[in-house]
Amino acid sequence: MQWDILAQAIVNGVLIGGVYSLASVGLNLIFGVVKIVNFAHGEFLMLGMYIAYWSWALLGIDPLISLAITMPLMFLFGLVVQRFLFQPILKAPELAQIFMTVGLQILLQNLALAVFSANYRSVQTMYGAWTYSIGPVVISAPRLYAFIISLILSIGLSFLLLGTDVGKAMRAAAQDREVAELMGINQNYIFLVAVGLASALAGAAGTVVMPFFYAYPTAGLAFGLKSFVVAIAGGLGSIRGALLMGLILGAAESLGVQYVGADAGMLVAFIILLVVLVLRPQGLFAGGRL
Amino acid sequence: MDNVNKLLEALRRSRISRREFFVRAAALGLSATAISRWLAYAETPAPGGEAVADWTLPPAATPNPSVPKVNVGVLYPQTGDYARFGIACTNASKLAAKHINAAGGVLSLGGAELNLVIEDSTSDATQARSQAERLITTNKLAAGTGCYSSSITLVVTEVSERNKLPWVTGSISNKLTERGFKYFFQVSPKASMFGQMQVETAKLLGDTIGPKLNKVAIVYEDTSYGTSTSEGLKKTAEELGFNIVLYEAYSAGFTDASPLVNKIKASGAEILFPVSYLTDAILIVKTMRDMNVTAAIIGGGAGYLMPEFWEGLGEDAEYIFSVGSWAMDISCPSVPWFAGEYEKEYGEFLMEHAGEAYVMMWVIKEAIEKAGSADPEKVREALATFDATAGPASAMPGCRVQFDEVGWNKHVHPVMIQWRAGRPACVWPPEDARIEPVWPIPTWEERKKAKA
Amino acid sequence: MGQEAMTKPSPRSSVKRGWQWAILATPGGYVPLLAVIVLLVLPVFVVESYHRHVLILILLYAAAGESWNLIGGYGGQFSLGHAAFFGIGAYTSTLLLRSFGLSPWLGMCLGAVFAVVMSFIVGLTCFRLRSHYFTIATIGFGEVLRLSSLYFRKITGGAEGLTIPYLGTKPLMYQFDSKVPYYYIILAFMLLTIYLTYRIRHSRLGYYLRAISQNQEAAQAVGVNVVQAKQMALSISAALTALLGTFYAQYLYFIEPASVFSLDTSILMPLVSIIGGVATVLGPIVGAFLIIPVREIALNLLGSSFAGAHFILYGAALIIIILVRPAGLIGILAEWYKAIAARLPGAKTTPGAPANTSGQNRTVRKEG
Repeated sequence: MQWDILAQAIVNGVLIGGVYSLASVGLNLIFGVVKIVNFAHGEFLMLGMYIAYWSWALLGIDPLISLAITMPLMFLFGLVVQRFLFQPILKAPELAQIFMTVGLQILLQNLALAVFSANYRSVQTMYGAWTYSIGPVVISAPRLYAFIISLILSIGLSFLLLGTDVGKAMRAAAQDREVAELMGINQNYIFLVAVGLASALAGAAGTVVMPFFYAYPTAGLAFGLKSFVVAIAGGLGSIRGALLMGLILGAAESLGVQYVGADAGMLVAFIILLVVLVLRPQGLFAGGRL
Repeated sequence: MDNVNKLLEALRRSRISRREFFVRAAALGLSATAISRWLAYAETPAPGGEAVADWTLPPAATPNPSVPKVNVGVLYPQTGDYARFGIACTNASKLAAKHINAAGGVLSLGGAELNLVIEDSTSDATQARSQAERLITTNKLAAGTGCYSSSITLVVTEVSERNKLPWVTGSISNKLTERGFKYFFQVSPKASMFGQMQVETAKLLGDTIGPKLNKVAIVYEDTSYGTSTSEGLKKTAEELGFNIVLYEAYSAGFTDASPLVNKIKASGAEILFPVSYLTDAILIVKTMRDMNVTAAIIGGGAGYLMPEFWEGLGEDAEYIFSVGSWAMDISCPSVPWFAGEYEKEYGEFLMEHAGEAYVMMWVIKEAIEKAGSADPEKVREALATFDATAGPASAMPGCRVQFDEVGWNKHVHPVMIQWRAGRPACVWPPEDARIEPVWPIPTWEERKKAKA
Repeated sequence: MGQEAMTKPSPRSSVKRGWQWAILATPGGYVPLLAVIVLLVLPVFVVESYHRHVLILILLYAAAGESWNLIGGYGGQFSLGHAAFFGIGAYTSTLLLRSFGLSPWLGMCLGAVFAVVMSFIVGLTCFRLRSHYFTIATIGFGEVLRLSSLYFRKITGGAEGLTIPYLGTKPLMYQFDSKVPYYYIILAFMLLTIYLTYRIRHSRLGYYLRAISQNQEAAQAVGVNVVQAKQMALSISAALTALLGTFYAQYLYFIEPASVFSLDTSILMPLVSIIGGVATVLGPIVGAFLIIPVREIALNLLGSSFAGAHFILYGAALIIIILVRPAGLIGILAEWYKAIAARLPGAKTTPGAPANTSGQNRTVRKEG
């Protein structure tokens, strides 16, 4: 057994898993609170990538610092989406809601194509080639930073939900919408905050991967699908579930590639998803609470 | 030029003697480089030699407005995953039409203007079918060209064949010419030839300049492109005595190359033959750099040939090899001119498939000239008996375009490029190249030292 | 089975025959008949190859939507993995054709069988999942099949795909040079799916499915065999979808994992249903007749405009349609239809209601 190969595979997997977690945490928030499955979530991530790129290209700001620009902008975007697209169809059949987000996905992808062109965009950072070594395991600096920031943001969200009034209101709305309304919680306001936050987090996920990835109009697809797998397997509506499941998926994918076959990564991921759902239909960590 | 072509033709007929010829020519030409190889990466040689003066621009003329225009269909993906390439190919087609019309259009028709009917095939096969139906049946076309992706081309040419419209493509899948179609013409090499060229080059470089490397890893993206070229890779590698330590497909659209590079590192490969599109190509190289995996990279085209490859990697891209179906500085006389014009017009160098798109427009134009008619049947006849040895219509590697009985350009072969000073410069075979390859590829450590 | 008191008696044949003749005299009977006749003679008037192609696409997606609707609409189980069945049909018939020269008509039947087998696997693993979990699990199935067809390239041809050998017009080999036979074949399929949907809707199974989709626990509590009902619907749906997969292969002459097993394909089937109206007999048909032309018109108008233009229009159209009519268009169309039908000769008036009013108080024969 080559322990260093195993260790490298697990480390690599967990690092990227952090980003999967961040991407799916937002998805969970939207589902938990607003009860809409957002198929366009990967595109929110893609927009975050582009904001990071243009901040770098036009203003020379490093992507990690441009989070200060990306997150507020994406928050506003989330508000707009909630107010004009989601709010009108809150009472519509679930399928209608899903396809609204499918339409949004097509729209966003092609708006990006029309406005930003099909060219692949990348940023150059000073730490782009840095690595750290722990024994035989090599850790790429940009991935490590992405992981750390993803964790901070995800955990930050948890504290927000537990500690602040707004957070508690969101959890209440997630548990029981009607009772929350009766208790005086303004639904629309809560939903706006929830979608805004989710959008900001997705945008952040897109931003932190820029140092080692690429921005292009269909970039959201790969992350989008994975964030769904994470969200469902972790338990829709469970932030904790999304966090842990993201890391597990990243590691599983990495180990799958290493030991089964290089194209088996996603196959392994889906099989895990199906196994989890068979054994625990509501997801690994679901419990109704965020 | 003709005699050289005849010589090369004779050599090509016998594989073994071709290799011998190459080996000797390479040994002669590259011995100088071998001596100074340690200093090679300190220099910045300018690729792209001087334009050979054999070809001159046709005289300027304007098309005759009273003669009916000739319509040519252009169908490339403008949206979806292939948009980046489809748009470049469309731009190149437009430029070619511009140049053709600046020389008076189709002269044998009395100066008929070449009119492009451009549509988006999308990156989806089902929608491409609709677009092909619409383009071909609602327009009076003399010929059509497209579609970059082999899958899209397969679907679209089923329509063009049934509608008896000649179609010229730069796609590569072997399946395209296996159908026995009469209205199908392919200017580009077949997919199985790419892997072959990748491996043969590795052997030649090892044998002539050295060191000889033996352990190879083959990884390929699980799209049509990767799958169609990987078989040829494996077969040739085995035939030439390489030790294949890794042979794997990997998932297109992966977000993390670390597991794959981990495997490459674990296999101990000395040469890596990756077949990738752009994002994975860059991810793989970056990760190899981060993990200090020193296998020599001889890429399989696509991503390894794009401007963004350099933009994404900077100097780390220098000296990486890749096979391609076309390069912006191959030795055909007209190439430097139109590659330069493209760069002036669109601000980036002329990529592989876009270059082919440019050439194909001229092939179509010359076929219509020869046919003396815009009638698709006559154009098809002209293409079936086509033989261009000069001008942009011949500007594929081999500098000659002539189609065999299944519609394949039998003189074409892939070329090997190496990134030099930010451009993919053709370095092999010698008759297509203007500069010489640098081998071995400096390791990451060596590059760091050179920078310091 | 459930208590007999709960079941609706199915019409006996003699009663049915009488019922059928009478209905032809009313708009509820002859309007659909006229519609079918129009569809039958359409190719005489629509002669342009491209227009015929669009019609074929519309009918294909209409049929696919109807098939999906059995489990997704009536059954309330929103599957986004139906491409799995579509692809099984396409690949089965194509592989058998290429390897053994087997007529795709036979291959099609075998494909349907495999799809039903697959549907049992899906049912066994996924039916205990609720709503969104079920949906994502079905996405998982579709993706597993797509990835597998890429992986086992020696068998399936992998990412390069498979071409249908050009045979010219060979009816026994399911291939034609002209589009007209294809049109009639897909029309037949579509009518079949409508017919099956109608029959199931008015049968015991349909009754159970409606109960399940409204409240699964309650249905179970009164003795409905939930698993059996859902599985039945899913299996029929899968078989029909597989038949359409073979049609697709024989019409496009080329299949690849990315076009028959893709999530995009899975999404299009429920999409036409939701636009038209799920859990209705004609909803998916309406949806297909709207969505496909919208997409094609967007391509026509903007395909040569800047990159992405036509999809922006298409995406915006989807969003607007759903914003305006989340329940689907069948609702408002049914209203218009009722209003018009009331004015047609032979329209029955309900006792006590004045004739020629604006369509209120009409009994609806063709249920929306």
